Amino acid sequence: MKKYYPFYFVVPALVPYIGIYIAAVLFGFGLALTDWNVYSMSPSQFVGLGNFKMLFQNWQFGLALRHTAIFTLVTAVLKTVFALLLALMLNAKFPGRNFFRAAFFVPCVVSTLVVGYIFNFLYQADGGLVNQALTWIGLGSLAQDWLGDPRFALFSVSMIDVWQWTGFSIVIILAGLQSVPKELIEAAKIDGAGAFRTFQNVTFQFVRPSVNICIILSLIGGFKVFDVVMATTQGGPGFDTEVLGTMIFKSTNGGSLGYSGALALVQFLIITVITLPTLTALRQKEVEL
Amino acid sequence: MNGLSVKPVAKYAGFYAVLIVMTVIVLVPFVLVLLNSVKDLAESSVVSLTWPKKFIWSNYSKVFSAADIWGSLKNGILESVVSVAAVVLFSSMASFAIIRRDTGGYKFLFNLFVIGLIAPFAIVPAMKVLQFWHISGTYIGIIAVFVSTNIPFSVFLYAGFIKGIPRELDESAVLDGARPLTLFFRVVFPLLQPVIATSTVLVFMNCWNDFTFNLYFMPNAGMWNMPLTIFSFMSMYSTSWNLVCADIILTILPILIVYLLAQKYIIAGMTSGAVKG
Repeated sequence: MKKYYPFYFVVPALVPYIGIYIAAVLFGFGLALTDWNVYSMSPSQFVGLGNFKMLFQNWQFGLALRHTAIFTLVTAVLKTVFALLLALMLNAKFPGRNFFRAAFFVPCVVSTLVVGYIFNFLYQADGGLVNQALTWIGLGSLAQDWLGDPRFALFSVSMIDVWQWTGFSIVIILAGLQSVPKELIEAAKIDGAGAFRTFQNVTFQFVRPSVNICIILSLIGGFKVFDVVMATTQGGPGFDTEVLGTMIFKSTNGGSLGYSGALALVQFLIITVITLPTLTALRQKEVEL
Repeated sequence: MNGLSVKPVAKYAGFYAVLIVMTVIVLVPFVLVLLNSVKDLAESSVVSLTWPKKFIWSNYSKVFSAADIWGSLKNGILESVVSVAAVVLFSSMASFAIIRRDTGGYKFLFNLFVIGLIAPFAIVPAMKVLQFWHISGTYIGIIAVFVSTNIPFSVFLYAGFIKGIPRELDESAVLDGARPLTLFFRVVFPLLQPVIATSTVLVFMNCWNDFTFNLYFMPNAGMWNMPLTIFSFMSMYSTSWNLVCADIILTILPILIVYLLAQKYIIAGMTSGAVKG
């Protein structure tokens, strides 16, 4: 049968993927070992692990790493929990279901640049909708300068990501819910299991793989976060929302390609080190059905 | 009146209440932008959720004359449509061979594609790579970038879906004398419809909404896509928020239409693609 699945089927995908994506990533890693700076007059030199040494001595790196980790954890947990609850609701049969299903995905199709601008309006300290809404429901004392106050900026940016991408997780989990056999739910009911028991012992076992995919995609996306920060705070106020993505962008713009290459390599390693064991651990809990 | 019927009704009301509140949170920001897109300059200076005193529909025609909307629309469509077609075709063919061959070498290829899900795309090195291929600053260049960055997730989706298509189907086609390309395009490709819809929307989204790649890879502003037109209305001293809002609506509209058309297939495509992958 081999000749019916020829290698040339893979070639059109491999050529742009290796020719650009992989080439750029490898080239970037290579740059990490040099002191290449576009604005420097002297030719670039091989500096070995020098960039990494500089990186680990830079207090901004530690800060960016912490912010990235907080962002990732907060968004991954909230998106998955909201998505699971909403997907369970949207899986029931009720009038208007298609409208609600369609609505939750709408933020996902909008450019993050646009979403960032919209939230700049919403988060305004004076007259922003978030503060207005808080006033309307009698919580006016909680009104804040959401993006300008160092205490809330990172949290506010994280909420934008949750707002925009929960719909994506909903779709993945809804897809998983389609694999739950109705007979098993019926059987559980007949055996007298309550709604929660049925969910825990039947439904959840079937959606577990899709929940896992949501978690993994959120972790990867979280550690790569860049667009939403760039469109709102650019890492500020001060460095209070600086993440790895914005740090790479800034050092790239500053011309130090070696340094930003080193940062990108560290980011890649962190994502790999965190997602692969998580994936293995999550997969072990999946029951073969 | 009787305790039995009250409980389900209350439950039903609570169910809808939760969904409606959540939907409002999701949709209100868009209503805000829509309302402000038809206000006058002064009224839109604080972007708030109030009914416009007077509807200024001419904001939209102003946006068309102030920014190159038609040009960027054309650029966006060109970039997105070509990228979507290439990604759908290339990823589905590659996934088919990878899943069916299922040997060490092909497993390695699959993992190679998965690396693309993890490794952050290196933008500045990519600029040098595009220069190396002599496609820097061209439509071909940015399309190649879109294709290469969108292939990993698409391969992941298609591979998951194709696993669920029984091999016996291929065998019967082969017995009927089908050659590889005929087998793929006549027998397998039509079966991929749900996952094609899903990946079309996702890839179209990524290209249409892109701003980072356009900024880095397109030095000529005349070749930019829709999201970047937003910068036409901002300056150091004054920003016409009403025009920004109108521009946002115009940017969202095309992608929203694509989404609504393909919407009912998305869950079906994810069902057998991402989830089983």
